[in-house]
Amino acid sequence: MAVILLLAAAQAHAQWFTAPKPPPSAAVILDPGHGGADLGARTSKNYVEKDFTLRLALAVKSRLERDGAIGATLTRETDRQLSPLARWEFVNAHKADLFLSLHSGGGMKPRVHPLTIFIHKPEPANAAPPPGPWDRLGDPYANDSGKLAALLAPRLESASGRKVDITATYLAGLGGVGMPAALVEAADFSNPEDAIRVEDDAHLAKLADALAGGVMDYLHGKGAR
Amino acid sequence: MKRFAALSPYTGWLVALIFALLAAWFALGGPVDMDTIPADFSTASTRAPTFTGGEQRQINIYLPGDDGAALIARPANVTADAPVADQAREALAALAALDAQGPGLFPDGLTIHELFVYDDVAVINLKEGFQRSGMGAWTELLAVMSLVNTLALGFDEIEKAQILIDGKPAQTFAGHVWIERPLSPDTSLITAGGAAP
Repeated sequence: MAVILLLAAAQAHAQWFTAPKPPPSAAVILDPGHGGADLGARTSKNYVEKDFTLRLALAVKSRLERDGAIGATLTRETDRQLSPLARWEFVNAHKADLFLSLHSGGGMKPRVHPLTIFIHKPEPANAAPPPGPWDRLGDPYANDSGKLAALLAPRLESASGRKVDITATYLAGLGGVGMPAALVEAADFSNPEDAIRVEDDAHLAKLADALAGGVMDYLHGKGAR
Repeated sequence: MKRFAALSPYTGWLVALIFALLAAWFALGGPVDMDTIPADFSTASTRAPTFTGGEQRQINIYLPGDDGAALIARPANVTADAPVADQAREALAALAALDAQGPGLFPDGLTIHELFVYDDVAVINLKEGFQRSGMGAWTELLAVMSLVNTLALGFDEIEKAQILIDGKPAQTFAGHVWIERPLSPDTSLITAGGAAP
């Protein structure tokens, strides 16, 4: 009896200290923003957003796939330009569990505005009719997208040292994505401190840990696919 | 000769009337030269508001504050008796001028090829180029809504704004914010108060 109790205690102990694992075969689409001729934001040293987002997406992918439970697919793995519609087509064809579009803040003069996570908000009733029904694919996932953003925000705040706001809008291009989705500004290229850190691999690793952690939290919380 | 003499009082009045009509026609611009109408907006030059110097009225234009956190209403004057499209052009000219002094939402300036109002939609045809100024997603949202809010909240005749880039519809403004259809104003991005830029 004592042996059985000891074995049970050991098993419980092992489970307690094991990081929560998402359900098997969860799939994530990572979208490095911009690419090709579309450079995105630029730092004062001309480091461009398209390079930052690709490095970050590859780093997040490697973390998500570390234990084999999650498959992460990138909309682009090289420096190439994709139209917004091409991204939608790619994302919806993969029928993944969530979509994360990676970007940076930038523009305007140096500012102190928080980083922003954008999620889809269904359009108001008096909005102009969308060009096609695909513009409303994101509507049923608005609540789940909010949960995803709420899990990402504190981790990103901790990693970046910046406040992170969540903004719901129908203008961020997430209405065409038929799954929980968020567009994340992971740095601010206008901010002098960030402008230096975004080229630093150690800082990028912290950001990737934060985003991968938020995704894992969300998938774990959702239980089965 | 007798016949001419009998008609002469009416003929004189008729000739005078024809000359008066011709003079009025030329004074108003004469025949329309179709070649002067641009085939596409991309060839149109920036046009200054036609009506200036009339009675002024105050509207709000919307630009971010120093912290870039939200849009703040700032007063600007437009010509009250001008057509609404000209008033709208004045409003955006004031917005661009104020932006150049402070927030830098449009660091390379804001060039408007054309602006007209169709039904309740203001169509703004912008010159391509500002997309390369490196806007992040939040900045881009503020930039789009500074234009849309200024027009749709400032003029009763305008409910929405459709942004064109060099005469063509675009999917996004500068890579993040979707502008392929007329946009309604978003008052959630406006905050009260704030210091001038």
